[in-house]
This record gives sequence, structure tokens and C-alpha cells, in this order.
Amino acid sequence: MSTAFDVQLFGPYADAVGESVVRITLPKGTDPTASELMKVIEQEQPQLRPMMKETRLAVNREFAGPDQMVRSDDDLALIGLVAGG
Amino acid sequence: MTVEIRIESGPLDAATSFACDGAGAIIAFEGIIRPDEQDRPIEAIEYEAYRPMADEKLHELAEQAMQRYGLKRIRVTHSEGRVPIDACSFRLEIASAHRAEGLEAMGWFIDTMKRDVPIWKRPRFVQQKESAP
Repeated sequence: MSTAFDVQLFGPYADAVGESVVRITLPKGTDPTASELMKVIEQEQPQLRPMMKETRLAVNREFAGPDQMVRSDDDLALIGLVAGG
Repeated sequence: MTVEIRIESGPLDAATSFACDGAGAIIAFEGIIRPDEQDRPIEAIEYEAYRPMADEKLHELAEQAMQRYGLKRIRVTHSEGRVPIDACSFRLEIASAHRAEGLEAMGWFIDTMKRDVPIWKRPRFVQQKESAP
């Protein structure tokens, strides 16, 4: 059994992956922290590696600290290198 | 209302009146689409916003600016979608008692927005026509 975490991508992140969502699947019962989930994303999506240093995970539309626990039903998005205005 | 935030589709309309009782300074900034990016001609910029986080973050920043600089009023308008060159994609209007805090708030808001508000831009480059043989 496994648990899926859907992470939304925008802008250069979506361009790099070619998708607007990446699905990360972890063994059921795994409750990753934000930094753990981002490490898995980086491993599974190596094309994002050059950008990950500047990247934060948004959990339910707020920037998460590295130790914040993430649940599969959270609203997740990778945010970084924004340049509006 | 002292804080107003709007994300609008396409280029922004011309500015409307921005009055404020008791203000000694009204400062407005407009971001206009330049005709080139990275030394290449463009025809437009496409803005993509992660909503509603973008709305919430703009509101949060505006509230912070009000408190931090003691502003009297702030209005933020940002485009999403396609904005052609020479059109306005971002407008920040600030009313303050004196110019110093208004000017400082303007720089702080724009710098922080570019770091923390999830709005991305993609340049749409002019397609170069192949030259005839």
C-alpha cells in the first residue's frame, strides 16, 4: 500500500518537467517533512535539481518550514524563482 | 477600504483616481512590458499565478506594508495571462503622510513581492522568419 502526494508546478518548474503536477508515491504511513518530500522530488525529477536550492514547498498556500509535516491531502506546490511585476 | 488587491486578466486598464484624505504623498508605480527580454525581441509576457495563494500573499504583503511604513492606503493590481509589449501588467499605488515612507514602502513591496508572491512570467518571443534562400 502506498500514499500519493500531488505537488503542483508552475512557470519554469512546469516547463522543466513538462507537467503541471508531479505525483510522489511513498509507502503508506509515511508522513514526510517538507524537506524530505522535496528531496524525493529532486531524486525523481532530476531536471528540477538546478532550481531546488531556491525552492520552497507551499503547504496549504503557506511556505512550509523544513520540518513541517506534510499530509497527502494537503494543497502542495513548489514555489521559487518567482518574478512577477 | 485601505488595502485593495486585484489580479486581473490581461493588460491593466488606465489608472483610476486614487485619493486619500490626509495623505501628503500619493505615489504610483506602473510596470510596463518592455519590447525585449534577454536581448531578444518579445511580443508579450504571459503571467501565471498560483491562486488563491497569490491573492493571499499580495494581501498579506500589503497589510505588512501598511503597518511597517504607517501607510494610509495601498492598492495593488497585477495581471495574469497575456500582456502585450508597452501595456501595463502591474500597478502599485500608495498613500502616505510624507513621501519618505511611501517611497521606501514602494521599494520594499516590489522586492518582497518578487520573492514571495507566486506569480511567474514567460516571455513570448517574436518568431524570427526564415530568410529566403
